[in-house]
Amino acid sequence: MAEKKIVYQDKFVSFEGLFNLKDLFRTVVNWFNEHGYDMFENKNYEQVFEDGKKIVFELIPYKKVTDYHKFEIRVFAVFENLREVEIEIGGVKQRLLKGRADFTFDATLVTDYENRWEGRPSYFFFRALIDKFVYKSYTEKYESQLVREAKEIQEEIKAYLNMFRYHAVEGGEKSVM
Amino acid sequence: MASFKVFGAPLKIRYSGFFDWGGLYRLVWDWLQKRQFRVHEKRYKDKPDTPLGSEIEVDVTGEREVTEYYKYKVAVSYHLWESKEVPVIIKGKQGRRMRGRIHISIEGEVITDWQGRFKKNGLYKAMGEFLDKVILKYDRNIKYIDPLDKDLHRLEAEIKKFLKMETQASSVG
Repeated sequence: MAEKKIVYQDKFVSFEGLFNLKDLFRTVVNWFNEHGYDMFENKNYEQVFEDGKKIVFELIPYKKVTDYHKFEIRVFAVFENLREVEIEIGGVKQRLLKGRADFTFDATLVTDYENRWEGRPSYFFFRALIDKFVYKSYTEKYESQLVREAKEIQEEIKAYLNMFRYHAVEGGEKSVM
Repeated sequence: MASFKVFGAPLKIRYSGFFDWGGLYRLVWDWLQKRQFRVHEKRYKDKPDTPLGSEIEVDVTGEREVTEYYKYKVAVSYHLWESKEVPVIIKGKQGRRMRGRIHISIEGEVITDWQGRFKKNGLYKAMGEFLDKVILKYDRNIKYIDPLDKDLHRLEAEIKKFLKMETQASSVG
């Protein structure tokens, strides 16, 4: 089994107010595509109730940086009490969703994801030696790169949600973060 | 003969509300047929008239021989709970939609040596394994597993678009 090291754990972003979920999802997915990640959507649940929608999705995109190291970033999002509202932004009417959004971010560095170095105890021993003394600087470099990328996607989502922060809905209510 | 899963875990979509069950089934069936898969409904299980509605389980598989050595296998499973067909009005016209919960899972597999040429004896088996593990490994990942992975993500996006889910953007373009 591959070795996994969690380098970025349980970082949260919460938002309550207006946002365009279709666009937000597209932004997240495009960000990962641009940064060379392959997408894996572990969960995508949507429930429609009379008083709103509840949406849960979990994305675990991964990137094989070398034949030994793999990046995995997990984005887990829960959207509750979503209702559709129509507002005018810049003279253009748009349909947005109003509700609560909670995001959780984790990032894991996976080594030996092809399981080449664990069939026998001697392989495991050599791998541990090489990881400790030879590959240490590479692993640390990849860890910091992964943390940087996890922070970037978190900031990207925050920046997107901030775009709708100060728009008024019909009736004069303001959205709050 | 070796089998390689495209995803570590199946792609899952879960939706609760009103949806066009017949249309959804046809969408997936047509998608597979257009891509020249041989489509087969492996299981259709219907538990009608339970107190909350019907429970339906359907398994659909598609197989396609890509080359003389590689074969694609796709499995789409549906599980519906508390499902009931109800009359609805859509754009001023009377229609019927299924109301309930649906769970869809999509799995893909790439099968090598589907003709069993390397099964004849021990030497052939060893050659087949060497071919799979060493020589054709990257070739298989790039030319066969990756395209099927992207195609199945597109199918997932089409299903989400059909169900009018908010997260319908395709992850592969």
